[in-house]
Amino acid sequence: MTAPLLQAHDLTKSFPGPEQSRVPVLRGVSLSVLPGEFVAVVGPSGSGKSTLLYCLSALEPYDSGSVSIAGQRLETLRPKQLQALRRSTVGFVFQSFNLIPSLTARQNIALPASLAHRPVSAAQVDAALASVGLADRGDHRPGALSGGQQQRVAIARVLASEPHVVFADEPTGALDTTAGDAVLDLLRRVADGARSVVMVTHDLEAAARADRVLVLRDGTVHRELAHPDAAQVLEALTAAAQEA
Amino acid sequence: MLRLVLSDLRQNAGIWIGALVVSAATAAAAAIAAGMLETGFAIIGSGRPTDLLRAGGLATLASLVVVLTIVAVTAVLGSVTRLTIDLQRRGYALWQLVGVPSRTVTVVVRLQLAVVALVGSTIGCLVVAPFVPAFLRFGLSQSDGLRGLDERFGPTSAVAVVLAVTIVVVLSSLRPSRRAGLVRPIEVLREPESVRTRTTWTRWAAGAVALLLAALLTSSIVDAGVRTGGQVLLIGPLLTAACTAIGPVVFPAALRAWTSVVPAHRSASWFLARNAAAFSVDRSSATVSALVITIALPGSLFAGFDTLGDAVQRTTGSSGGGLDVQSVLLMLGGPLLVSLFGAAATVLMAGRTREQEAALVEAAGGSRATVLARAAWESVILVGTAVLVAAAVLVLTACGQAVALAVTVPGTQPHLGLQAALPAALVSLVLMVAAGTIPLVTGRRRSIPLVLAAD
Repeated sequence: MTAPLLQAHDLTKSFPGPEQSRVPVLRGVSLSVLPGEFVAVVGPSGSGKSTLLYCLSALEPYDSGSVSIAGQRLETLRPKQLQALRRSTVGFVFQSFNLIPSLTARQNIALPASLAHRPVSAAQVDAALASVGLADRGDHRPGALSGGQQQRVAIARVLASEPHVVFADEPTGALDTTAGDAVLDLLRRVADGARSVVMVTHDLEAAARADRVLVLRDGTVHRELAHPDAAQVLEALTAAAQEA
Repeated sequence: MLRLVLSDLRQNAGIWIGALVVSAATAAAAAIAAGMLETGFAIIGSGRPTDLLRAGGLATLASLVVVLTIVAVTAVLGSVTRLTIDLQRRGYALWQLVGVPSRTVTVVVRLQLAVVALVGSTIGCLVVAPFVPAFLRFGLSQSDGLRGLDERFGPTSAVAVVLAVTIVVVLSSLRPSRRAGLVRPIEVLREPESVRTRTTWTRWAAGAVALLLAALLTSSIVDAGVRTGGQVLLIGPLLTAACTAIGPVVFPAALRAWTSVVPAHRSASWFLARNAAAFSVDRSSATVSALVITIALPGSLFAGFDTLGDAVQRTTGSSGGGLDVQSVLLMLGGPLLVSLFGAAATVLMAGRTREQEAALVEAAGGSRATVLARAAWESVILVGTAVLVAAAVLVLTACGQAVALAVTVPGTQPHLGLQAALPAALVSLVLMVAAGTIPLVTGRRRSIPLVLAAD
């Protein structure tokens, strides 16, 4: 049996509430993601899906539980090791503010390699740009690109870094249908043999592109759907909202 | 509308603090000149002929202080108010999306600037008011005939300074605030583009007038020789003013030219800093403007004085004395306060932009050290650019004056005023690096997702 690329066990996370209380956001989430898998996380507002993504990707510390990515336990890593993990093992696609405004698309793509003092050839960068259909936009700065093009550059950056797991937080949240479709197609292609994608979304059609959909409710995994269609995702979400 | 004015000021306090600090510094500088004028008027009141002469001397000195302060304030205030507005373009786009008419946006921005200028100048005046008479006494202590005056700075002068500074701030914001109303709502959904201030005809005209005056003063030395008047000391400040007037053209070109000499691939932090400084043309020009004033103003004053002193020594055999510290502080204390605070404010104001870039770098695997080094390099780049431009001003001032003096005093050597320019550059460097890095070190760190979350 193939070992999971990403594994979380009994993950909890809370935020400060009124009068020194704590508001629990994640209540013992356990999940695993296999190599090549495309997993979507959906749930009603406030169900903890974005917090889960940030905890899984080492952007946000968690209170208890464990997370391992490509065999590395996050809670045992020191800050420098976490930085190395971000450089080589994980990639991010955020909803917005993905790119450094002062750098061109090409320079943004080469940035992780440059930070890691890893050589990256112009051919590699060009190939990544071509794979997202932006071969002719390499010298454009983010301000001169549309929202969809910026997301595609962010995915090209991920492709050039060759990470094990890609985390995407509402990657189509600020895009129209056509641009969103193009971004989802690319993410689908990113999840291949050795690489997995974990995506948080509120878009049912987007979730239906995934191999597996996790429905979160009140900080726990409420349901898990394999290869669902949009109607099944909607039904699961509605049930989650009603039972909440 | 008042609620919108005040709540937005509170929300974006980090950006508005720049205009507040510069208004306070401008009021402090203006208070020195106002104190001199008030003291002069009080002397005139006595009606004695000797006192009238002393009042005249004081008025001449006050006019020099006023000219130097205007040079600093014009360059710094305009840049800071423009930057204050440009950093909030996204917010203005949001206002328009929810239906606030563009004319109302302009009015709100002007009201905000008026409130900030009023508060800032009041604070500046209140802080320095008790010390102005003592500072004037100290500054005039080495001036023959101006010692032992009854130095004053009363409530009437303070109110006049506060009102004058507020009016100047609002006037300097007329164009940028109109631009705030013209921001397109679509900018909410777009990454910020590099907003480049066009060098308007007024800037070219101001630069040309300053250059012309400097040329006229320099040519006046050809006939007068060492008997030339003290107004030749204004050649350097005029050249400085000309440079800052056409700064949006000169500074980015100078910045790109010298930073391209250092290979970008050597260090990721240098690469990021260089691109950020070259991309944020308006932000960089605002800081470099203030730094050029800080370095070139004292440097060129000494360059002019020492070059003239060189000619005097060749003619009479004695140097004729140097500039004393007290007089220099009296003339330049206010302007330097404005320019130094202005430079630091422009760096601090861009904290939110820098925080976002830092979060992106960290998300891509960059270390905290890389983020700090990037901020420090950006400061070095800005100071380096200012040093280059200031050096050109010093060379022009000293060589122009030396060539003009050499007509009547052959062999006159130019003096570059490095004894003042170098310490000013060093202080600028320390202050800029501190302003760029300390907020990153001591500030309350928000998590990367929070910083990168959509507004």
